[in-house]
Amino acid sequence: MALTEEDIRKMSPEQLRDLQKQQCIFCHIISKRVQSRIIYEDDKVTAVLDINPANPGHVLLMPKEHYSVSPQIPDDLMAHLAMIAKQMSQAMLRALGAQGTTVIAANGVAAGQRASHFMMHIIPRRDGDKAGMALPPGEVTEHQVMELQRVLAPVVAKAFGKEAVVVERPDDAAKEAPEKDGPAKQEPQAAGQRPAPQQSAPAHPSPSGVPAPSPSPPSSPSPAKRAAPPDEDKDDQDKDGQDSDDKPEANLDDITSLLLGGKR
Amino acid sequence: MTDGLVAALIKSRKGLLFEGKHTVAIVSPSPAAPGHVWVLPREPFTILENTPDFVVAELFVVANRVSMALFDGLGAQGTNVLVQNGTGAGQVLPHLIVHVIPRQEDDGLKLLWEPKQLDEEAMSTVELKLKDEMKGVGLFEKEKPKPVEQPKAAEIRQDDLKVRHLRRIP
Repeated sequence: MALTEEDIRKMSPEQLRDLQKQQCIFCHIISKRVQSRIIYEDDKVTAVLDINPANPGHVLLMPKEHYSVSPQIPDDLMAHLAMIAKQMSQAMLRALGAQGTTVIAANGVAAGQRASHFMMHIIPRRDGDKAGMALPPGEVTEHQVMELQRVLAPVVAKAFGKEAVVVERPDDAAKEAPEKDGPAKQEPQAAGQRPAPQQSAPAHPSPSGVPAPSPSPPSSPSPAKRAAPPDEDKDDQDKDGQDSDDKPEANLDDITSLLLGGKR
Repeated sequence: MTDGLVAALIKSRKGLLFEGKHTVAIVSPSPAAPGHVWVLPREPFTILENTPDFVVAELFVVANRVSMALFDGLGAQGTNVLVQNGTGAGQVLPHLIVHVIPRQEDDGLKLLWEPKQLDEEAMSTVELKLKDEMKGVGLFEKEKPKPVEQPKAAEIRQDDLKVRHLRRIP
């Protein structure tokens, strides 16, 4: 019954998807063909205990529908997953006396995804339990922050189906960052047999599907954003944006040093 | 002392990537990797449990879009969405943060855990406790519509006086 490479190459997207579902152990768990300890389920999601938990009570929360990575998941389902995750976390605090919970999801092998079925891990935590998932504190300069903002804001806006409205200083418009080449763009790789069959277009569901109040467009007073801290004109040049003499209300350094000083 | 920091950061609009109705996405001031984004509620809710359902929903929907943007705009090979909910989970700042972290193969980040083995009895006990606690789940908090303006108390009292005054007329 083994499928050859040839067979797989000949399959249509629908057939591939069916194949993935057939071979997906979590789909079997959800359909109850395979036994598991189900903590919660409704018409959209199923939550089961992980049999190899980080801590007792480690729960896997999954959409019943087979999705490989979260960018494929429609907004209303994502919202539902989020709200159930909150309830699950609350249940752990109450019923298990947890002192905190880690909620984590991995999209792609590079992020540690091991199953081809998207899931959110909800893990009860205790002070000093050494279960991991600590974030290493990092440093970033104000200049780097602005660069990232310039590169990412339009892409984020596009992900919401909106035109990028980030207004930059006139000299920036002249030296536009080079567009990312096609080949450089990495497709999310799901663990297991094949890369996720669903790509680009379906992965960006229209914002109209959002049940939660739809996000407002990026703030129109973008020029105001630039006008507010007039001292930003200073790091026009390539030197670091570390202006020690102007201290706008929120100093990045305060938060960075707070986080770097933390023992975790 | 740390309470106002995140609020001030949001207000400063530094690294602001997106503004939602109840949430914002900003470049992390302490990134685990370049392109690490924070998705936060505008209001200083500290943990998931005291954040209204509709805000939690928006947080994760926005985080999902940010994931898409990291794939598209930064060529990330993977993304992690992470909430450190409570001190036991490593939370440092008293403001709920949904982290979205771009990943590359062999980037050296370790966001994993040691899988443990639990015996049947322990598993069953935990299963029952959690199942029980999850029984009531169903209705989610929706955003409340703005209340209708009530007439001010002072105005009412004045009207009363007028009426009483009228009654005195023989």
